Amino acid sequence: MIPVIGLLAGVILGLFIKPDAPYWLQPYLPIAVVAAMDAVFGAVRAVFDGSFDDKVFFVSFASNVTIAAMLVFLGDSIGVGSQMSTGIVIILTLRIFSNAAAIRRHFFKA
Amino acid sequence: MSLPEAVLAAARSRIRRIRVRALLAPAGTPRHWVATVLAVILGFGIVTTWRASHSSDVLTTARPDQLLSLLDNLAARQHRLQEEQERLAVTREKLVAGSQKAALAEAQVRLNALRVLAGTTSVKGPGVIVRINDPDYLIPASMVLDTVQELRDAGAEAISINQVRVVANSWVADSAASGILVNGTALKPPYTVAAIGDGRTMAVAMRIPGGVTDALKVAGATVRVSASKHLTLAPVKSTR
Repeated sequence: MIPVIGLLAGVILGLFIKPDAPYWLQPYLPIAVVAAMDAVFGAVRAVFDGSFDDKVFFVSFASNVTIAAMLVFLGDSIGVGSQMSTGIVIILTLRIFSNAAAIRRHFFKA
Repeated sequence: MSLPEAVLAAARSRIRRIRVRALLAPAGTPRHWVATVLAVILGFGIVTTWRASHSSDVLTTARPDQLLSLLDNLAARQHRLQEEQERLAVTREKLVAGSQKAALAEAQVRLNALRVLAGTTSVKGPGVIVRINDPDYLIPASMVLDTVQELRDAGAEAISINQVRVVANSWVADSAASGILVNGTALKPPYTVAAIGDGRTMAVAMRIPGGVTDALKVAGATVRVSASKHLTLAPVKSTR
């Protein structure tokens, strides 16, 4: 429950502070957010599977975000930035969907 | 056989309930705090991204390659406008500083250009001749018009069909008898379309695969395209 409140708190905090992302970070932020969402869905699934580990969650969250942003940066520097971010978004979305399916099976047994 | 099955199912659902309760419970264990901090970061990130992608300035979120093509377009446009500005500035300079002679020369240049367009003078120069031999009267007026349009697109300055000048208000139609009408003059094949301009460009335009020449050939005519160094097109005959 607390993490859900945390998510809402983050949203409200963002709405209050009205952060403007530094311009060098802006191309990578959307990808990083999608990667973080992937980690969160994976964590929720782990909770239902009974294998949740905060250390694993933290490491997967941090590494997902970092690797995604790094790949986009790498793609941008070799001229395939937009293709690279498309590819990353597709992969992460696939994972989110499969995690969501596992969560759904726990909830509805279907 | 059915009893262990039922017991197992009950146990499974109990475990699930415990896990869900653990997820929802406001317990202050450290593992919750790690997850909470990450959740706060995610929420914050979502809002930041949302704000960034909804900001009014498109340029801040555009990718480098998009920005590059935008910049290229702007540079090309600026270059064109600059050239035009320089040309106009030179003209203005001449008109202001110079005498009436400059103004007169300018007017003369425009007059000549307009005369060529209107077809009131004869025009000499290099160009291309398209001969359409159509002994069986298979070619409709529309295809002759297509030929004229193609030549215009390829940069023809002045065009005539069988010595009849084609100008801005010219028209081409099928004749009630046979052949075509151009500006009210009945023409019979073979048609000779002469155009003044860059002969090579126009010849290439005529020969585009699937273009005018091919269409005419499919319709049953024989076509010959030849570039010419010295063409003379007669002026429009006054119909008044």
